[in-house]
Amino acid sequence: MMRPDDSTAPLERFSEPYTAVGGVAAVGVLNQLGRPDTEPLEVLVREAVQNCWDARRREEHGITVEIGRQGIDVTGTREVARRMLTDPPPGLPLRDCLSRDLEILYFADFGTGGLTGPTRADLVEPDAERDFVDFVRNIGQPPDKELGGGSYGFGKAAFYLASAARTVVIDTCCRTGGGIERRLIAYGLGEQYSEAGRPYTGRHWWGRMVDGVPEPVGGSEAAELAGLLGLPHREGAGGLGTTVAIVAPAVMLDEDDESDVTMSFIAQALAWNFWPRMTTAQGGVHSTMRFVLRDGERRIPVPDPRSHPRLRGFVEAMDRLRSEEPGDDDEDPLVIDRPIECLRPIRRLGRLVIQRGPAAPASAHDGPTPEGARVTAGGLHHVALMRNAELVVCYLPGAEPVGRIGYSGAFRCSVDVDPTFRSAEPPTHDNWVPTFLTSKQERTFVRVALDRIAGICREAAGYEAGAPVGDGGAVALGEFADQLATLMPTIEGPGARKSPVAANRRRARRNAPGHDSPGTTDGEWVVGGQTEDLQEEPGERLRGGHEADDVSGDGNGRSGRPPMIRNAAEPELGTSADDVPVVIYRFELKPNGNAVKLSARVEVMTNDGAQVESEAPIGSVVPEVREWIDPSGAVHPGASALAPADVGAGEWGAVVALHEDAMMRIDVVAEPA
Amino acid sequence: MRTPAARPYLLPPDESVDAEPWRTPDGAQLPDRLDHWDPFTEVEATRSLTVDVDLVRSACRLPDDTTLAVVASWRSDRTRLSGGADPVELGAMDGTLRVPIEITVPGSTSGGRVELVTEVVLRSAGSGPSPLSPRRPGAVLWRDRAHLVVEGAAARFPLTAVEFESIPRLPAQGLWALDWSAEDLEAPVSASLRLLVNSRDGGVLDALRSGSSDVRSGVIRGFVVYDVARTLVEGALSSEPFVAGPESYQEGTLGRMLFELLASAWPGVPVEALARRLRDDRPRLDAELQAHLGVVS
Repeated sequence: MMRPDDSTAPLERFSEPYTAVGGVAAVGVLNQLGRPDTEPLEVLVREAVQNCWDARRREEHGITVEIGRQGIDVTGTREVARRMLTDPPPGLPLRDCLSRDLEILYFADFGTGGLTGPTRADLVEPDAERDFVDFVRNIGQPPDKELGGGSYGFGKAAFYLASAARTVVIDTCCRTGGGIERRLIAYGLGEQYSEAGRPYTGRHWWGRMVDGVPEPVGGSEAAELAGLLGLPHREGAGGLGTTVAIVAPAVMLDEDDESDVTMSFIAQALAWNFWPRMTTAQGGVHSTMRFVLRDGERRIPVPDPRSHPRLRGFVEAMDRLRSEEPGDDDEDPLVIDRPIECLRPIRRLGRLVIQRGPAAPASAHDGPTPEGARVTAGGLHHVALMRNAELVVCYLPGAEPVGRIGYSGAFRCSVDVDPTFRSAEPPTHDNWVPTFLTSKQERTFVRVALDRIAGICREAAGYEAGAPVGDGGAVALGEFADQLATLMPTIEGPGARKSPVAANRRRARRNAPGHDSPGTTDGEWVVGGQTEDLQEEPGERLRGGHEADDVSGDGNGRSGRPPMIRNAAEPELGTSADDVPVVIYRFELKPNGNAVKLSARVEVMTNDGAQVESEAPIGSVVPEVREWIDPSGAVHPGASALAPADVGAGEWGAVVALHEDAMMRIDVVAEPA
Repeated sequence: MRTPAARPYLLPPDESVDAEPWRTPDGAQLPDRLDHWDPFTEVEATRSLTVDVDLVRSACRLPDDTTLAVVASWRSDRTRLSGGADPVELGAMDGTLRVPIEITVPGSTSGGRVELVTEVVLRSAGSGPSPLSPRRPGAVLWRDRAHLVVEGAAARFPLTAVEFESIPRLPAQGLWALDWSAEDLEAPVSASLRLLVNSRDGGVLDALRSGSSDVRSGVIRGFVVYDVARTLVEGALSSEPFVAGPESYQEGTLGRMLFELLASAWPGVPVEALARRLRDDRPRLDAELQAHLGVVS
């Protein structure tokens, strides 16, 4: 594609004409980024570094980004105008910039893949990446980087916006089928204009024309041209990556006293925006972004977030966030570590760690400061919001703290909702806006996450609703609390105003101790008397007076109706014929024509008659019925008795020897003999 | 078929003890529930028992030197704690005795449904009781249970008196503060809403205290209710998720409570319309809330 024999010739300019089917005006591309409140230089730094991060090579542990400023004197500038940015077109403010000393601001990434793939947008190589085309040719191309920092491909627009000449030079070193290839091309985005009766879109490239398309130059020519601008050296595998050089940057910052603070601002902005990737934690995470800052030949130091007075708290929170699982809050009273969850629908949204510490408001600084430094200047009560790229989206202010203890937090959304949060970001990636989302559920996720974070911030600030407060002198306020309850209709509470369900149980003898034992059948006729289970409803009950008329004979001459019994009176104490103290349990038998065998099991009650003793104490004698008294008063000794069909009807007594201190009842069974 | 359980000793007949109902210290009959009870309320109750000790002794075949006592105790089903008054000793007296008893149920350890138990018990069986007689000291001869509901299922606004001076974010001279957050409307009401009243002298606490005789009481209470209502209404209508789906909150949550509050004050008016009213015509919204609550009526 490239013709080596042209290597010393100047680059050619190609300006994009409108075709019959139209085209995108370059000015529209510039508008896509909108007008953020943030200092434009910070937007540039954020976008540029996010682009670098998205371009990282998977096999590399991290990336290095070199940001530098080069001044080019008049002679050098002329050389640039003659060999590279030739013949400035109308509609592009380049010509002016080339008539005086030129300044270059460049972002060079290493450990990245460079701009690979075909160099023409109309070529498709199967499975090939299209980084070059996306960056240099296309507009607003969505990224295909999983969990990347940028989302809109607008990052590149920031470069043109930052250039007074609306022109950038792109110098990349990438792997292609033929090995490592250097590519250098310049690109301008100006106003649309007409020339010689032909309308142009305002997009311009400087390269070598091949088949009517401006192609990048490579090899030593690229190296030479890069050298003209003072761009970092690139060679071999170590040189893989991309340098974007902004021609005549318009985002430089001056203090009131006209001292230039551009590079120190960049240093601060890097720390405030990329500290999560710059820090190395003991025995764990290693930094994945290294920055080199140059102002001409001078190195500019980048603050260490871990010792930065206001970033330190965020770094500590992040260290914990990166540790395995949310630990116990109580371990450290200054740390809050919580999962952030949505309850409806149930979804883990992320995790928040808040580190409390001195609010440490910084001394007032009038000059330009990065957004993060600006919003925290009044005191630290913020949470750094992040997606899984771990680039700070913004510093969300939480409730202002009570007292001098502030807090710094780190929130990272869960991997499976990362795309949702990414979609909630504006092109500048510096906020989460639920209304950007069209899906109601996704909107809920972002909203709930922000609400929950705000709630936990209140807690960190000491505003926690429901926090224990001292007992204010034990004042009875129930009356007023009930009056206030008119504000909470339908809510249940501890107020006693509603009438409880009255339990009007019939009692044989109201004031007798132990009268409400469980399972007692009170004066109702019971067929056979067989009790199924100790605590269950006994047998089949028929209301008193209603006999089991529907039970027919069995055809054997015997009545088909089984014998029935019911309690007749309260048990009474007495003395047997042999002077033994006894309890007599009275019941009524209706044999229904049967000869009946009577038997009974004695149950010892415990807990004041509330429970039946399930097992007798070791060594104790299990009590049993010692004799039965029939309706005529005759005594039948033994644990069971036989009642002939003709004389059985009437009131019987079951006699049990009194056990001192033992409350007892009996379970009587009447079965046909 | 199970028979009733039998005490292992003779019991006196019901008519041997005559018990008056429990009364409050001012002589009124103790109701079966106390509407405005709170854990700082002590319940005091008295009653008088008439015990025919001769009949008790004879029915239980106890000798004349048997000693008896009357014991009152309480038990709470909420706290599962119980307590009692000192026993009233009847000694070996004879005849018909009138026995006044009193009991205090402390608020801090009781709650829910309180059972008041009155018992006539054996102190000592004396000389030569019959084999059927109660003999163990403490054997219960007569028992009466009364019930008093102090807590039920009715709504009660969480309310705490506290020294504002002890809360860093509140000014020491403040009067009341609603402690809540409109951010988590899924939270249960009982855990996320509370009115704090400054217990400092000279505040409004006296007017809010149960049984207050402060002449300003009615007006102050009405105004605090209105102020709390207004705070809640504003919080609800300013919450974007609430306005978007006011009916989506589960029972018992703050969100549901706020929805019901709006529905009762503005029946049939959509929440979105109320949110617009808050934005466009706040005074009207306030006046409508005053009309609903009555405030000082």
